[in-house]
Amino acid sequence: MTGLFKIGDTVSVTGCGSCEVVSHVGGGGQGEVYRVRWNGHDYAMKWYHSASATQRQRDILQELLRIGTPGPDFLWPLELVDRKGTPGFGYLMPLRPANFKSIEALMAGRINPSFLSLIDAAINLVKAFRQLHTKGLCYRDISFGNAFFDPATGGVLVCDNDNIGASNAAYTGILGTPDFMAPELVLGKAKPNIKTDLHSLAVLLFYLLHVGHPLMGRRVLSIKCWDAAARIRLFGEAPQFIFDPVSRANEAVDLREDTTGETGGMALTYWRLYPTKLRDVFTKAFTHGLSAPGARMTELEWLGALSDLRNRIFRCACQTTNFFEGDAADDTVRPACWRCKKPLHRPWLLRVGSDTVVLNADSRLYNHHFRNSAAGFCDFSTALAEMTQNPGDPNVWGLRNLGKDKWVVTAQDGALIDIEPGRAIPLRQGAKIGFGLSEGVII
Amino acid sequence: MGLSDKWQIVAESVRGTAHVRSGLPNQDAVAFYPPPLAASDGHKRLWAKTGSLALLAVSDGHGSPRCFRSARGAALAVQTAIEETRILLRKGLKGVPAPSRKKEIEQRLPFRLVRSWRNAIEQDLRANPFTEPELASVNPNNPFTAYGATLLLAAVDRDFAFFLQLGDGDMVVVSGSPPVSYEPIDRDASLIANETHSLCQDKAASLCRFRYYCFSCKDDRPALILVSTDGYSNSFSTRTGFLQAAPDFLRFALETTPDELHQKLGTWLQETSENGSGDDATLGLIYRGGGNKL
Repeated sequence: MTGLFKIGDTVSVTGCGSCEVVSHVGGGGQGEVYRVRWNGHDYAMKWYHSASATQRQRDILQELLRIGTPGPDFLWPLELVDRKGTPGFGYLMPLRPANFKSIEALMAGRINPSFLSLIDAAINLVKAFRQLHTKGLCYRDISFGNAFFDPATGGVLVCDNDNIGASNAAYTGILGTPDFMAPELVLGKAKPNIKTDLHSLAVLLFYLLHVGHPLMGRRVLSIKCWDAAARIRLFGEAPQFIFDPVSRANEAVDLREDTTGETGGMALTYWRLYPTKLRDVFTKAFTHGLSAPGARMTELEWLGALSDLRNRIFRCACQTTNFFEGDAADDTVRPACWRCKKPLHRPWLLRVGSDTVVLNADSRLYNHHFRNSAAGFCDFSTALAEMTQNPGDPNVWGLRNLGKDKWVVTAQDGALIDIEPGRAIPLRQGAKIGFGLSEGVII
Repeated sequence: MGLSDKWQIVAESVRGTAHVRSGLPNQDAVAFYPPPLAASDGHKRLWAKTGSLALLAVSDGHGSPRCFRSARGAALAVQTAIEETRILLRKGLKGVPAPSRKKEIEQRLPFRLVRSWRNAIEQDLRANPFTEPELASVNPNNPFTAYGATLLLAAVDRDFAFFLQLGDGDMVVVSGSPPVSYEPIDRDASLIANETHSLCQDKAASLCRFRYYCFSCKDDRPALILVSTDGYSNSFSTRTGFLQAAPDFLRFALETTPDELHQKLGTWLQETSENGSGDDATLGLIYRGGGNKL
């Protein structure tokens, strides 16, 4: 239990010299992870236990090295490592920075990120898996042990990428973590593929936003032994969403009844906070999507739904995040903040295309809001507009043009006013703003 | 060092001298699997040799006025922990591939342990409702507080070991050649002074800390695992001194029989309590016995 390697041991990096073991990081089911120093920089080295150090695993790694990382959000294998006299092999990958935390830490309440960070983490996860899937690859083992996020920014890192392979490939390795596996995989009726990944991704997103599992409700309480039969029934034969609109047989159990939270107690709390649109997409994912892989939410659908959720962030005067429930034509807002219970004021809203964006004091608008470029969908790196206060009268709010192109505002008398980059337009109900290809209305 | 392939388990629990003086019972509890070879008498003669799977659970009842049934809470904690863990490892993990075992245990066990303990408490309450005087001390928001207790669990099987901890107490592993001792679970930095997490807390399952080891080979198995309540470790003036005691236990265990070791444990723990905090003290050992002195 002291690990295979000692501090100072050297391990050969295939064709590229050797690395030195700095410390033991941890162990898992497949192998051990060490911090190593290679060419003056620190990396993580995963070394497989002999049972997992198969030729097939080596082939998978070599293929992953050939393909290269799909994007910066993956802790992708960099080099294979071997050591004379030590059974097995391993690989080097970038180290996970300390500011990236596990979803387990979220579940345990050890971190308390903002809703915005959680939504951004969800968006970034979807984008990462989209990058993978567009290459025809599937992850095969998505679970909350494989994804880390920065609670401050919502940045994500996908690790344990050594099971990734071609969609639908004949594969006898890891089929996934039972809780996250698509029903057809649990039942042995399919090979891991992009559609099974989409189910796992939906489970992961639900975990992230609801701190609970979408299929673990009341039925869990009747499980005497958590064995294969229980797993197959719960996740394969008869999976049922804890918020199934038709049947309450597997409903989320209130925390007062099951304080462990395992059966959806926390999810019940969060579910009530989110707007109907988000609840609808999760309902689709975990009703039709369970039995019909083709009906599962795609990455683009998720990005649309999560972007909409982000647009609906609505801060109470007490700074608590609420979500705006109504649409542009409907003035309905939640009657009271879920935390302070005080009535919520009606926010400024911008309707642009089919989106309704709540304009909070710190709101920013991006490319996808203006439909300028499909390529930049959900790209939050460059803001094109931001809320701003009139320096002479802090009660007067405006929208500042942060882009390179001018906006054209239609005044109430029909006059057209140019808003040059850097300038702001005061918010007035009914004001129409031309953002290049699209037009927005303040409501 | 002449280590055997079979696990021996020896454990003892003594009533603290302060508890004797104040008339309080021993509020610690210990249980293990496989069960003792001989019928146990309270906390005496708790030893057993095992095949491949060995489990050891220790619990420390909080003992405060609000936790007036914590001795019972601790007893139920170790019983339910051993039973749930045995079921999960022996039945639940059947067919689960080795690489997925860690996740399966880590995700399931804390919830099952906590729920099972609470169910046992509810059953106990039905059989023994709070008395009129007790009702005055019951936490109206959480009656489980009356049974509040910690839980430490060590499990070792043929090719893996894991440790689970909720609340204070100590676990130490001795392994390697020469033997070195270390704590498999870091001390909880979120707790200060005598604060402890408890089975009676809401979200207790989420507060469990967990560590899993997969043995890379037969020799990678630990030589000894020590599990104790804080009444034992608190008697050491330094952490280093406490950690050093584990290899000493191993040396002594390999030179003697489990019976002799068990007797000595009782004596040492008694001395620990008398000379230290006066708290109850409980200590269990899983070790690879020498095998020739059984």
